[in-house]
Amino acid sequence: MASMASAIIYRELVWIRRFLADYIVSWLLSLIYPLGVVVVPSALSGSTTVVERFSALYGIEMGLGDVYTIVIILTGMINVVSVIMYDIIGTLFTEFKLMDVGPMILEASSIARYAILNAILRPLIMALFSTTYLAPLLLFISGYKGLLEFLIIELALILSAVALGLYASIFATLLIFFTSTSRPWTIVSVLTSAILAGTGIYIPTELVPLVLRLIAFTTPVPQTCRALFAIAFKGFSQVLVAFGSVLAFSIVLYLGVSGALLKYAEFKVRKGWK
Amino acid sequence: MKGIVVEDVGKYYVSREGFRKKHVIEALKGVSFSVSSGEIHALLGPNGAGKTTLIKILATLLLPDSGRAYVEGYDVVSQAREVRKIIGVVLDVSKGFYTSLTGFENLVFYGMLKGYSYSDARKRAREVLELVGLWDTGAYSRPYYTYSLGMRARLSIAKALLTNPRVLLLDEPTLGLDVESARMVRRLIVDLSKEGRTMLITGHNMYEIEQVANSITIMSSGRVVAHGKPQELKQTLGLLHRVVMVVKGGAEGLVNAIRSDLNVSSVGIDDVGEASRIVLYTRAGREEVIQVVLGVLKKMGASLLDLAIEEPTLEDAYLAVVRGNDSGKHG
Repeated sequence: MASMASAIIYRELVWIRRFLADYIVSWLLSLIYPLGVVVVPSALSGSTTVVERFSALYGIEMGLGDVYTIVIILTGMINVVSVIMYDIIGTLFTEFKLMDVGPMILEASSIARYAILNAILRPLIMALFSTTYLAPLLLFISGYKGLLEFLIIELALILSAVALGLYASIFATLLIFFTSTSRPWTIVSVLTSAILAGTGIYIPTELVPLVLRLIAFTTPVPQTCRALFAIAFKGFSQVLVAFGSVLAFSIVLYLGVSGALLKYAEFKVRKGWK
Repeated sequence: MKGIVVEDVGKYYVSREGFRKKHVIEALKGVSFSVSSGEIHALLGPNGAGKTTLIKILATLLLPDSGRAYVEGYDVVSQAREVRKIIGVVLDVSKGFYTSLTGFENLVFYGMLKGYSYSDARKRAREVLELVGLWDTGAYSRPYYTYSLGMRARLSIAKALLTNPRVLLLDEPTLGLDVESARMVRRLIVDLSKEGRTMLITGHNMYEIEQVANSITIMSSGRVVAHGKPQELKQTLGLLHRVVMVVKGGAEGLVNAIRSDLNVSSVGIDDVGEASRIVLYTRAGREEVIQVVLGVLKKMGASLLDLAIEEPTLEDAYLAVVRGNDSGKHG
């Protein structure tokens, strides 16, 4: 188990080193979000209007610094959801369906063990790398308090990423071993958009169609967003407790479901059933 | 000691079309054979004969539906973990690696998956890359997607050797390789065998198989149709030697005299200027043919300008077995 974990970490770090430029671009792309919801509107209609609208939307009196803090934190969530969903489903699909790396993994271990370790370790690494930019930004906005805020936010994002990784592995298993899908990326794009929209990141949840909200609520993302919001405005201990409980429950549930599915998938693969 | 034992192994594949329609394909129908330790055993047969399925079962990648198989005494189903520790596998030489990782990185990853530490995996990866000739050329540091088919095949063999296995299962390791690469792989296979490794190899190049294999199993439609050493197989099948002679004087009489001493299947005589070219087919062995021909020539006072005795090739034996099996199957 430990050697497999170190193999996955090794491969991940090689990939990050090789594709660092691509990764940085995709991570920073989410900064379009604060540009679109705060910077441009502030330039067009003044920052006071933007702050008033945000205060009304969240029901809390905010300053411009709070508005920037919350939207920048939410970019972290956007990155985590899109990177993890794409990486877990896309990579497993490529490994087993396109590159035929499956036998190499099966020669050494089991699909279930590999896929679950992969679904835990990749999110840990990718969430860390894809949200590191939050540290200088929060430091710039809130000073040293911002740095402390970053550490707590990072922890919440990483834990949420692990749960999301396991969640994505359920879809990956279904797509790879139980369907004949040849373009999983289409499904990943739809799923990622549905999760983010259903969480209420782009528009208030009340305005989001029920089906999208339902998809989002099968993930820990909505609860993570509430937790991030609570961290940004401090002292919302109850929300954090709920976040912890939802996260723990989600991880156990996803682990159970993906574990069972992967075990059956492995049985199918070793039996040669299609 | 037996390196590989296959006992009555059966395997079928199930594929579905939609929710209800189900296709069952029987890939192996009670296959049995064994391979002695340290031997190079070739598994031959037309496409769809079940060779790759059998290799995958021995590599613990597929579960058999009936029968048993053992590698160095370990059951491939109940002792799969032990089997994985002692085997090296080459499946499809054209793929099976991460395209964006280099050959070296792919091997380090595989080594770590197999339980090596980072430093040991790097050390071992370098050793096997040197062995297959990918280190000195600098190819090890290039991404896998830039590799030619020959380089991919070498990397596949390097991967199979990484854990220093006692048994190698090689499924068409020279498929699509250029002459030089194929020769290098053949030489490597023979060298590895000299170190005492048991090898099971599949392929379609009969010349190549004849060069390296100590024993052969021929499969057709999921069944074993012949088994033995290449020479034994040819003899068992009673394949004909082709004897070509160029003689001066009395070709007809010469042929009649040879016919009285040898069991000749068919004869052809052509005039080549002042000489005659005689082509005859016989089941007799090489030594007997030489003895009879020289005896008759001496007795008849004819002069021999040229003599060639062509032995039946493995390809002849293979075709005889496979065609015989197909004609039997179709009645």
